[in-house]
Amino acid sequence: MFINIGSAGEEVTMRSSMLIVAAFLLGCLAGYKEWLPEWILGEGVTMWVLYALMFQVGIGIGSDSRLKEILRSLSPRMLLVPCATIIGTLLAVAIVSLGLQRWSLAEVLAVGSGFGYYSLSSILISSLKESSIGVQAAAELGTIALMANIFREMMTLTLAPLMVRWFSPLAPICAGGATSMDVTLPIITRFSGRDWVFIAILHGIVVDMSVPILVPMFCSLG
Amino acid sequence: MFLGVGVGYLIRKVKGVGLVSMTTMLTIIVLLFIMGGEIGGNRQVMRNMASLGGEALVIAVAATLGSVVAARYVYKYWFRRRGGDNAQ
Repeated sequence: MFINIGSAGEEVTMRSSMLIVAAFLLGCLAGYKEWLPEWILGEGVTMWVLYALMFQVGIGIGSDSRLKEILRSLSPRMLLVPCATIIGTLLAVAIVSLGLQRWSLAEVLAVGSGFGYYSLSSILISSLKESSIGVQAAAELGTIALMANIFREMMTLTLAPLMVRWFSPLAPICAGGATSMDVTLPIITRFSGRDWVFIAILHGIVVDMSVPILVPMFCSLG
Repeated sequence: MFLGVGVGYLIRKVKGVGLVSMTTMLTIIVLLFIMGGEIGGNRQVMRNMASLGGEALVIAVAATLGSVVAARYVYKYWFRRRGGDNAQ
């Protein structure tokens, strides 16, 4: 979920994901009670903070000490794992989009390409869709992205042992999506085995990098 | 973002670059707080919360199922142990 936290930081990551949910809920409460001034909620502020966020995400990726090592030991076979996650997710999500009549295929694909990275994907969707489908629908789609990607992470955390038994040791890695390098890594290590840690981190980094590319792409497709 | 990747690579040796993960966290928290504020202040979203949650659940189940099925195929055809070495 967050870049550059490192292997000793899983506990920190767990704590920070609770912090994120708390910030969101607190925001909901503040908005509901109308405690927030108008200017904060305007499009301008959010967009600039969003640019700042993207820049920082980039710095995190570029300065990651694991990046070089991982690029060096990369084999095409290992890249199949993030490809499986991306293709498997998008195909399955495309199928259920037929049943979700309120949203277009591209909108449902944008939610799916959060790959568990709920903070970034929901923020991107609710700000990027605002101009095309309006504030109301964009906020709703952003909320769906937030919840869907939190659910994905929770399912991975709770169902990992069954995933290993039914779908192979790679399954919790792919299910974890962008979180396979931090939040869900301890669970993957435990149930898939130590042999898979390297692939899990590589997978997490590749999928993580795909989120800020795929989500805006699907948002712009309509 | 790509500008950030370049800058990050150039300053990777600079002390304190690790602080970026902390400021990223802070930025995410601020943005989610604002997003929460927008959603909380939006009565219609609050009213639709249950149906939004249902749609989110459907997408989450599909996304997870799709990726574990794909994982199984990749494992079966490219990773199944050849001579005892499993992962590498």
